[in-house]
Amino acid sequence: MIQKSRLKRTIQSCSKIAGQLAVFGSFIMISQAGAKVCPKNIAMSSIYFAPHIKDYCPTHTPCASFKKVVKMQGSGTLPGNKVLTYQGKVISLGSCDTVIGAAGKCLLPFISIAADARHFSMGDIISMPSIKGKTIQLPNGKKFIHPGFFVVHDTGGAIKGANRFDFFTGSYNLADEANAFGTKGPDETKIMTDKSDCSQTKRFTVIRRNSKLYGSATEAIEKALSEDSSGQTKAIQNNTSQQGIR
Amino acid sequence: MKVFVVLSIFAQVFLVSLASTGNEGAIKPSRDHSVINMEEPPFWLSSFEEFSDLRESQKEFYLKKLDTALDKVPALKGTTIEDLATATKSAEKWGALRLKIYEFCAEKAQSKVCENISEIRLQALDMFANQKEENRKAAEKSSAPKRK
Repeated sequence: MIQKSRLKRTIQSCSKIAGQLAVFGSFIMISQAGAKVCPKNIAMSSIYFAPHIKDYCPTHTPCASFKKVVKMQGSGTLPGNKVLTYQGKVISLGSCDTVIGAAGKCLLPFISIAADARHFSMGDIISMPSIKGKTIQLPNGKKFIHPGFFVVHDTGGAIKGANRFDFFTGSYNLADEANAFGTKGPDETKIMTDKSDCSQTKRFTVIRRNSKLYGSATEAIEKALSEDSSGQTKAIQNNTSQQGIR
Repeated sequence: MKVFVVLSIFAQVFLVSLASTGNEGAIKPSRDHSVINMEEPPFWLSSFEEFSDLRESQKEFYLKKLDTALDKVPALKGTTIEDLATATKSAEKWGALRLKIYEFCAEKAQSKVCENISEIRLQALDMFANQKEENRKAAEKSSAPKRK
């Protein structure tokens, strides 16, 4: 009798502890479930850039502040179409005046994006209607009307998932006032910096290489860039394999 | 109390499944063998266009690894690196090679071989992927040996 009641008390204690552990475990799971995950048709976006030495150093010799930002961003551009890597190497980029992505193509500011290669082929196009028609200033000072399409030209270790994208903004950093996708950009585009922002503005669809819409999307991109007369069309036309390395 | 414990455990399992959304692990082969869409994931092999745009060092790496990996694909056993190099010059030949790999990978049982083949593509792209600090850390983390 005494043993039965003791057993009963033991079971009750164990159940209580198990319950408390389960609740505690649930809280852990909630916190680790991560930053908010957006629906699959909403982009989880961030931006990345390639700093240019002229924005950081008084001369063409890499200074401490430039080296620091190169270390964070992976590479930075030097005069004469050269790039300084985070490992301290100086590489020639041929005719590319920004940097070259994983796909082997010269990255185009506000057009090129990095995406998860498990979900995208290099060259796939992302259509984001909310960006179409927006006037974007390029790092070279020119402006263009965004066609609402982006091209997967790059990838990255932290870019995982079918709706995770990193938008290339040329030499504009996150806080640059001219960066439409930066923290000081217009309300409707500065949300590109925030991957936990799941607003409908970031709704997107994928246009695969051999799909019916691919040709017209590519033409729209070329047209938008050719109208800016900044030389970016030349970058598209010359986007063949380059010898530069990140 | 027992009901509470069971519900809590159920909630944890549910939350784990939520947390894994968008962090797909192994690429799973298609179950539908009748329709092979090479423009949609999983991407077992680069398209001709994607491969053509790669830099020489990426192509060299890719073909060298692929040559070894294709020994496990019966329809492509005996394919030499010269055959692969020839295929890279013709969209038709590359497409035919690609289709054979996709047909092979449509079989669920071949998942390990196919994951290996798709991994070669990812490694070739990663050679010149963006190297900002966040990406480098993530890459280091994923390549670190797992604890037993």
